[in-house]
Amino acid sequence: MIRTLSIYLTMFLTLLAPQMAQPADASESTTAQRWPFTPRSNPLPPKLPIGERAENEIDHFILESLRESNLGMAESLERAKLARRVYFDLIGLPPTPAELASFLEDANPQAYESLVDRLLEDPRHGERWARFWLDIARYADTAGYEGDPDLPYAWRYRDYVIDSFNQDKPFDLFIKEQIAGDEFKEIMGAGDLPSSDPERTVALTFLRLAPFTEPRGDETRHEMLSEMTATVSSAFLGLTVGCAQCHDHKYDPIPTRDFYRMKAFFSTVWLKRPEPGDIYQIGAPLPAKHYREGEKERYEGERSKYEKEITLSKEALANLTQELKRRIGPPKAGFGIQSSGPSIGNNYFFEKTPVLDHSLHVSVINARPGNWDFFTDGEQAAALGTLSGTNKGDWFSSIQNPEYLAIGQQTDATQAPRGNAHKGQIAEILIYDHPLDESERTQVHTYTRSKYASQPSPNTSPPTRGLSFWLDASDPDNNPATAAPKSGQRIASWRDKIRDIELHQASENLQPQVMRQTESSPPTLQFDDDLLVCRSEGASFLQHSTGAIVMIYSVESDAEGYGFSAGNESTFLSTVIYPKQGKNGDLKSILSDPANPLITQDERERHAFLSSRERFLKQHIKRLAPMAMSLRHSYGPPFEPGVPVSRVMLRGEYDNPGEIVQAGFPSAITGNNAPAEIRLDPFKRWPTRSRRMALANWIASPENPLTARVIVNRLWHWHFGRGIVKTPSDFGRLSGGPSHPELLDWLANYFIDQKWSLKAVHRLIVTSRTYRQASHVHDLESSRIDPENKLLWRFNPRRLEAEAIRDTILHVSGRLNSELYGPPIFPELPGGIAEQVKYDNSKWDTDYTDRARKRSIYVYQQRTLSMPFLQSFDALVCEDSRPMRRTSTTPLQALAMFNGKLVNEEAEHFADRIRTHSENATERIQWAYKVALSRLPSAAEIETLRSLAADDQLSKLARVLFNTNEFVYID
Amino acid sequence: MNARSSFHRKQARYSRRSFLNRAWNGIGTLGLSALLRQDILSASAHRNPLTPRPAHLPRKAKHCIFLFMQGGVSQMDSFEYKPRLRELHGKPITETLNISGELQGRLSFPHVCIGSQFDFKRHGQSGRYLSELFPHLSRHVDDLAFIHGIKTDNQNHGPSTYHVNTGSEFPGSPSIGSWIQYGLGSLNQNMPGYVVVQDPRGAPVNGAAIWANGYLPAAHQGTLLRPTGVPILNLKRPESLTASEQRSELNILRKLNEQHLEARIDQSSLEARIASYELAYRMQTAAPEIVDISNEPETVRQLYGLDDPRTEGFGRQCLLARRLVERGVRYSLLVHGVQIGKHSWDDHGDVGGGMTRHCREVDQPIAGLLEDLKRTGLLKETLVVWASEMGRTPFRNATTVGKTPGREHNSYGLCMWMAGGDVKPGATAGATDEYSLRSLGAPIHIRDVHATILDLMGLEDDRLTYTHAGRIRKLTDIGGHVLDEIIA
Repeated sequence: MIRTLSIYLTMFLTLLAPQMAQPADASESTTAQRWPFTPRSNPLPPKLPIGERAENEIDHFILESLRESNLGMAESLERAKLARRVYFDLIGLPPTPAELASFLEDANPQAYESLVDRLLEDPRHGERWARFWLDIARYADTAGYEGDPDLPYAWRYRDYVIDSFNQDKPFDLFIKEQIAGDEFKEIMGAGDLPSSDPERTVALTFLRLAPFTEPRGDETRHEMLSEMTATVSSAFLGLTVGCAQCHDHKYDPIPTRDFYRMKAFFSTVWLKRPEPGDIYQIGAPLPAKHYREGEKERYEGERSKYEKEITLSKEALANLTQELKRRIGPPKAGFGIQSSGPSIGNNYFFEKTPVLDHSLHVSVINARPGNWDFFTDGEQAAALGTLSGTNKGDWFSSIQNPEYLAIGQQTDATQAPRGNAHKGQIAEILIYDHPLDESERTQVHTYTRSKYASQPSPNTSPPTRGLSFWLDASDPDNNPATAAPKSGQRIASWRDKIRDIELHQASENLQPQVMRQTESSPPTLQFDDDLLVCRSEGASFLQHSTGAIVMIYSVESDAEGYGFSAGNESTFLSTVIYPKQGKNGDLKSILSDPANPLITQDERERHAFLSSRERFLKQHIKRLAPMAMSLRHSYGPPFEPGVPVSRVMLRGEYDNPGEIVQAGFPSAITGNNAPAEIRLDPFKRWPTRSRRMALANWIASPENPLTARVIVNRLWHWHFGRGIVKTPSDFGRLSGGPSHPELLDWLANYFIDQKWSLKAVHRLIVTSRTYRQASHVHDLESSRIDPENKLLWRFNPRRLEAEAIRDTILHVSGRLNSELYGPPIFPELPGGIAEQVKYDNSKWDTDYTDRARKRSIYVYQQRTLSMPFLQSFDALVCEDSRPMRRTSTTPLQALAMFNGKLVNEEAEHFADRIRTHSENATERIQWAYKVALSRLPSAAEIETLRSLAADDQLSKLARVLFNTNEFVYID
Repeated sequence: MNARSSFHRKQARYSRRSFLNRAWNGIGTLGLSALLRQDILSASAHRNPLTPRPAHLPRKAKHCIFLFMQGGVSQMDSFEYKPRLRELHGKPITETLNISGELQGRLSFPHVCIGSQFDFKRHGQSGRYLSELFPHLSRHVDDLAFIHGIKTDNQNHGPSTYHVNTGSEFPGSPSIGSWIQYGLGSLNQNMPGYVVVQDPRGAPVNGAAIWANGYLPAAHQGTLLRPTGVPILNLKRPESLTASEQRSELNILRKLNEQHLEARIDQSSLEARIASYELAYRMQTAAPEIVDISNEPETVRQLYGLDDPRTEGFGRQCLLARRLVERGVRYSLLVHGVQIGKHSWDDHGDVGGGMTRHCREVDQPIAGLLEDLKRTGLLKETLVVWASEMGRTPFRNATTVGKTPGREHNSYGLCMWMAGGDVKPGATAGATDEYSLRSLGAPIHIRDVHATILDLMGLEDDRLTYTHAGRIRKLTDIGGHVLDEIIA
């Protein structure tokens, strides 16, 4: 009963009614707490039930609890299957046929134990087991949210974890490095701070891997430190302290106050300011030398390779660009059409003669059904764009109910100029009801040349056949009787000479002004953002589906401008004067227009690829710098913040401060609210230092009731598919408690006795008889008594995790790149999705070399883009700490495994291996089974597959084997 | 009895897999494997996360179409008529409005009002004011129920996009569609029950994370349907394989898997995996059929605006939504807008020009969708929700002073509407002040809207839970209040 008393009652008795409280020594006050806050017991392994056999102490505990329920263990798994199980379990890959054979032939009674030792020493062990820790550390290579910025050095933390597991780094040290890697070195004197060890700087990345972007001052800091508090608690203590951020924990004795007492340990965390212009990143990286042997040289080598590639790709891009530019000719500019509206489309056409020389040019656009032709100064130009929609040369008739005519762009009823009006002079605009043939075009040019020559000859005329509309600046009021307008005069209206349609402008400051090219030449109208407009009644040429428009004009601004337009609110067709090559050059618009035949699709892709090379390569180079996405303690005043006052934040809100708190450990464990002792340097010169180390020391202490239990339970969970406590990051009330409490304590004690060695616990678990049991149902009674197999009367069969599935496919096809460590890899993604995620620029630099076939732990973890293959098998890019993987079964998995490129490509390579191995069908199937499934096929299976063993069918055989349940489910 | 064995007893008592119990009690002359198989089949059916499950409440809606406008829609230029704001146009409002500490960050600029440049007219029986930007939608105004002054907890796109789509401003939580499918299962066993059609121009802020399953099983993640070409990743069989070759290969696979199952008949997941291959095989035919709109009559194509390049994109998304509903897809998320920038509703610059463009792109398609759903009778069983991640401010964006006026983010002024199912036509919940800055009275929180969506789908917020990381989780996190005023 005493165990059920909450900590609150204890506190009530001690604080409010001390006279009532019985004198109690410290040990008694802690035993009043309930599991898991109680100190570990020191259980001895129970005696073996009569007739039972054990491999080690684990079996004593398991057999004892089985006996209590009248259950027994399953038979031992046959050796070949055991090998497959333990290979996958310890290194995440199956044995090769040779490895399997050498184990099966090893007659030594300790053969299995030696195999386990070999696998634990295999560097691939760290690669598999680090992945589980990375899930807990919510590891990713980007920061998420809007912009999803790259965390360019996060991968070094991933390698740190692989290393730590491979080196069997004592777990207490592993904890301290990740929480307080910057506070290791003792400060004896009054000198400067000791430099930080690079590996420990990298380890501290752990604290800032949560998704955060766009820092918002106090609010972000509050959220970030709260997240650290919550994650440290759940990762190392198995406590969901984060639940107490806003209110007292609903199920466990964790008051809100304790959350903020714990958070106070992190109060002097300091992040370097983000690099200037980096608006998304919450902090800049810190220097951390490459410390692994040969690492510096390796990354320097990679860097110079990338630098060479930049040079080469720049050259290649320059060459390609030059070749393409040569092909498309000089910069294209001139006169064209822009239009908008459903049936017209909204793109540009331009011809190629540059016209920005202030002198008069004459441009002709011919429209006939299915075709537009452009001419400037007599020269025909290729169109440089396509109109989308259905218009391929339909004249004005494609505009539904045009309402206005205008010079300058005007696309709505407000009669205000819109877009860039034409800047320059317009001498004449002529519209014909038919395309002008060559002789007519010649006549236009002769007319223009002679009329506007320095010595004009006024007697020539433009072609008159089919002339439907003619604006002539020599006679703007269409009254030959009136005098020609004077230079400088503003023109309020301009009448056409055929129908007397009047374009006008009431507002004086929008009226064009009369000019002359030379003193003796005829007048022109100077437009400068000016606009003339009229209703379109009477403009019958707007009904024509063919025609020509001629414009005699000069240009003053090098920006594009709109000339003559017709249209209504939603649809318009406008002539565009595009004086010279735009800023981006014509090549760009041709490249972005897939319909343009000047450039092949291949060249387009190559150009896109080469254009992004430099950006991607610089990203790769950046990742190789000796830096870490780390943090450290503030150095304190005068340059950096000192120790702030820590407060409870009411309802978890950053701007709602409550009572002041001191850094302290959870009262549910310590039984008190005393502030933690923070051991400062002897001269107290660095008051901001050692806070997190105080917390780390307490967590990593053998006396802490939770830490060792939590980590051995995690190992148990990963080996058996279910923890002794079934929620590995929550040892609180909702966990339902441990299924084998004595075993858990015994294992935790063993772990600490073995100097916090994870490998010692792995070894003990996988060599136990419990682990070596078969997984099938051997006994109906057992199923009835314990259907969920909580007592482990058999082994739990399991589906491989996503990473192991991809790795095994590559392993079996013979193409797995076994290179350890290094920057993230970018395997090909299906359906071009890498290119579709346009966070301004994609971060996924698809790699087609064998580097992309490294193990899955090296795949770039982009928070806004999970690799679909891995994602479909339940490996999400972590947003928060994830203690376990789900096992879902979805049709998307089947599609990926059956139709997906990865499987199909690797099936070809696996088929090649099978083909080379033997010419005999049976031998082929047998060998393929050994490679993929670590066993020989049955006669029935050989018969089923015989038809797929022919030379040209082997990739089917390979694909079928990859898709079998046996390939992904391990007995 | 010691603590351990009492613990075991309790566990055994509460075991949910008592089917084995039943199986073994009745063993007589029947073969064990036949019995086991039968039970496993029923067990795996029970486990299949897509199996339809009964609703908590008697509601008409079986489907939900969620129209998400990325970027933050300006509510005072669309659905909130604020004449007072127009009067104040060009005037600072620091004195008239009490901007307190809560409106910080993006809202702490000099506040120069900009009234809407768009005309508002009354429409329908309800006489509700709508801006001229919705000439098509205004025909359906009487079907809509509006919610004004919705509050989210963050002023930035990333967090607020999460908040509206997943109930949490932080990543990692399941999206609305995941929750609904988790609660109700799927109505179509040839297609995923939760389908996403994103803007053909690109992905939204946070990418696929806004239709993620979070801590729910992966079967509840949204499946991205590409509107053209191959609609689902890996849907197309390898080119080297004919359809009949694939079928016979799958038959061989099935045979091997069944042999493998013989000794493992207690593992229902193996059987489920065999079934998933058959579903995948059927999807190869079912999914392309959904995106193949070539048989839609011209009138329908015009209804959705497929004949106009400006409305074609979203029109196609909306048409697909109707086809998805017809084929039993439970939840369709349609996203309009890409990231931030000119293809999103994030109009910091030219709010007039921007709104004209965006509304033009969605108005006709959405109206077409409503009309089509009405015509086919599907609106009765389909909840349609219009949402964005936040509203915008009545005052102009500080950084664009001197240029065309734009509006800042406003997480206090989100306006949404719903239609269909048991939505009360013409109803209104909440209201904003005369500036559209924030709610009059107590704000409606986004979690209240979420609770209302669940309710309209027949799910009770408090009963739709999942235990994760030591907490009982739900879409509304701490619980929301159903907005009864918009439920018929």
